[in-house]
Amino acid sequence: MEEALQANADTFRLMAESMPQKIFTARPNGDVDYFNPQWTEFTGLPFEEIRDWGWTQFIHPDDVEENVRLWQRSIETGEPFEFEHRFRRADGTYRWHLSRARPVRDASGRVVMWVGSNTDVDDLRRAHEELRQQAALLALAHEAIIVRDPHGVISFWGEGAAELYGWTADQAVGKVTHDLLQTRILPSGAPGAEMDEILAAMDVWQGDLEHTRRDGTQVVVESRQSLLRASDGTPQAILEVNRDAANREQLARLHRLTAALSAAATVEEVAGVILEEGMAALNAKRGVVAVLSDDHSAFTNVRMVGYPAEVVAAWPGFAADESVPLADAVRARESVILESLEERRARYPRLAEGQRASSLGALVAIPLLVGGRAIGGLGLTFATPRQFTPAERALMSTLSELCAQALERARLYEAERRARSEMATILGQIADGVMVIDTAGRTTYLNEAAKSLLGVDTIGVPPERRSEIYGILTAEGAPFRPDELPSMRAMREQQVITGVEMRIRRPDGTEIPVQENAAPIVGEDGTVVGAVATLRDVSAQHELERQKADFLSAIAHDLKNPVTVMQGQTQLLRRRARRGLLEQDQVLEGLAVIEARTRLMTRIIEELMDVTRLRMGQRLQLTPQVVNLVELARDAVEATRSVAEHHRFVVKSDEDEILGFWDATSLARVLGNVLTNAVKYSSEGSDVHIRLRREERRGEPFATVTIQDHGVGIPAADLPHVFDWFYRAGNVADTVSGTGIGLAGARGIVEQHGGTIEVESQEGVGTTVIIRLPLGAGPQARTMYTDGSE
Amino acid sequence: MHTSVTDQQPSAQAPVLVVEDDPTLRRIIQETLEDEGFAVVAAGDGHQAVRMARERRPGLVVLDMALPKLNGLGVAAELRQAYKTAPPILLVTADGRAGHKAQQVGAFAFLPKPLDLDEFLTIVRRGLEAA
Repeated sequence: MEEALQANADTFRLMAESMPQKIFTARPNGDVDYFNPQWTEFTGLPFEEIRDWGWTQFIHPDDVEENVRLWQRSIETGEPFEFEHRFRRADGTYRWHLSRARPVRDASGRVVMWVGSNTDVDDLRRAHEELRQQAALLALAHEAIIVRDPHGVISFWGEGAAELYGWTADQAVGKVTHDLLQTRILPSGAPGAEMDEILAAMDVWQGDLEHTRRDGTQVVVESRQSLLRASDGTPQAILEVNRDAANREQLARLHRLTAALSAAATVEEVAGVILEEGMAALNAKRGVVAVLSDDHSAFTNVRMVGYPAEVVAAWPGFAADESVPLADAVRARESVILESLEERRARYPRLAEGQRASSLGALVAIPLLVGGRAIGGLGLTFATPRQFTPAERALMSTLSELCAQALERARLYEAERRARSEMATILGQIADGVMVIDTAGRTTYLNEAAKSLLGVDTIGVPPERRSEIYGILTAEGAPFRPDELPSMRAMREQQVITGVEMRIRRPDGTEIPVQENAAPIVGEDGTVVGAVATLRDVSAQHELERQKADFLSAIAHDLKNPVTVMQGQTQLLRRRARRGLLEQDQVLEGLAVIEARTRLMTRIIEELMDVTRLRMGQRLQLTPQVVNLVELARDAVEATRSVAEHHRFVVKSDEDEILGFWDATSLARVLGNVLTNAVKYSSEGSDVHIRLRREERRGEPFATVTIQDHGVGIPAADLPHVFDWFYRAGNVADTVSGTGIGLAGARGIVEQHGGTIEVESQEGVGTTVIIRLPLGAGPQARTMYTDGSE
Repeated sequence: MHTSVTDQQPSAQAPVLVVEDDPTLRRIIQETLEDEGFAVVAAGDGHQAVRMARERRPGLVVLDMALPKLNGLGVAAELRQAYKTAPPILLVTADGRAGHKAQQVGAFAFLPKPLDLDEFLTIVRRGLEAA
């Protein structure tokens, strides 16, 4: 017997040493009397150190007490031992093991020894641990999460599974899924085992399953299953995620909602989409989306659905501190959910009073938060009292999250679009050309002004081809070196380049002077990503400068002429005086010439001062007094005659006196100017007719002076411009010196007197200037009494 | 000091044509020249100047640049056409760029306005001598 036992033991040991698991035997009292070499290898210690109870030093401190307790109990009762615990390996790391021991009994049933094994389940356990953590996270998604081992034994049963199938985790863990849920694969109705075969081959399986709930009802689930393997490829666990297929509609709704939201551009559209889909999903009767003002003081109802029109009209918004569910929810950043009328009455008695019974169901107010910042609220009311399931609450929170994000996006989008359109409007309206180029010198943007300035749209044209389309020349007309262009310099030198003068030769051959400024565009990372250039057409400026130069030269000319006469006359008198040839009438005549030219010069200087004032938009300083226009005209004619010796002046007046209340000096200037023009632009020896009379125009008495010459006349095309500053008619601009300010100044003076000045002319025949001055104490005249201006 | 009227008999020579649109200045120039014994013909515009040049064959032209009907440039061009050897032109102008203009019209000299009559006479004499 002993020998037989010994032989058995030897055979056992031989077997134990060839097995991969750790094997041990113990005496009936629990002393371990054998560890196979896998044991000593794992612990790194010889048998002597771990025999009997020495192995306990390798148990994790957290597990050792329970381990010893269970081991002792098995020894006392003879029941099999089973425990999962952590063993310390030779390298100091702990690994999970499943330890099992069974008693070996003799014929009488007495325990003669224990045989045990310790299986390393660390990989498996870790996998399950990770799955459990993932599952816990996934549980938030309200899906049925199940983790099972390759044989189908459930190790994790999530909240969602409990909700879907009716079994609690305690009831389900340890059971085989296909048995518990009577798994059938749809649409074939094949048993769940077939799915496991596919899983074993493919590692994943996805499809619809039919499961049976605890209450015996069937449920169709959309299932995703993944097989997890250990590093050596052994199947370790299956993660099963099941979703009630009936919820697919809700999911589809969410997808639809997401798609619709991404298409909704405005705040109102977003609110509309959210309400439409959200209300349908939750079967709500009414919904409102209210947006909080920037200063957080008030809500605006951007969209209301299901409310009577008069309520919509009467309720545009509400104050942020009002005691209403939406304001409260936003203030507290927490949903207000009132499932019944009683709850509503209790919390908002005032609100409940006025409501009609039809609207008195549940009420939900959800804050719309973006990054913890409240931007508004979503309110839903229901026709009946409702108890919201966790899934429905989750849907509400999803809806509000989507709504908040979409609203914020729409708000930003609207703001950006506004900014863009403002920018586009500004760029479109400014007269300067605006051009953006990239680092390659390619044009990426041109505003309308730039296109018309360049005479062509060159967006996308590479710089090397630009010269084929339009020419860029220096102010002197030489080709502009491309790398010296302001925009290229701005990018290269990383600074603003201003006031570069150039000439653009457009495709139609016209050339315009342009002033260009350019600035580098710096990206967020500080690198130059392009340049923006503004192009200003300076033709008008150049034209103005040319006009100025012409004007100054004309002024110099006009001033030099009387000076020349005065100097010449003076020198002539002196020469004659030295020779003793001077007669008294020659002296008087010469002095009269000098005096006349002095007056002319004074008039020119005063005209210049008029120009300065009138051009600056100021009124002239007039000092009205009683003036006899006939006398004033005769004096002006005499003054002109002295500088126009060969013209004939014919003055006709119905009366000797036409008295008015005018500024004599400035009117003399006007008459002098018009008479000088008549002389200047007509041949010597020709007549200049001056006619004075009283007139009645529109019931008002006027004095009219008509000055008519038989000179070169004014071309019809120039006639409308004769009163423009610095304008000179085409037929005299090159032959007769002039400033182009005389008539413009004359009109300023006459109009300030309340009068009018007109020019009639025919080229080659002559010109007639008609000046009308009010005689009555008209409004202008009256105001001039007081302060001389108006 | 310049020479007196009796020292020379310039009036026997071809007259000086004075082209100036300002009648007063024209008269002053004319009288100054006549006081010195020059024969003078005068014109108030470009066309008249060309006509007179043809009729009177002046020995020298005192030409104002800005003239009605035909400006100094035009007058000079007409004169060059009308004569094999055009009379010397003394350009008188208020324009600051007179040198450039004098070249344009082929003038032998120019004087800016206002004129210094002594200088003017010196140049007129030099012009006549050279011719």
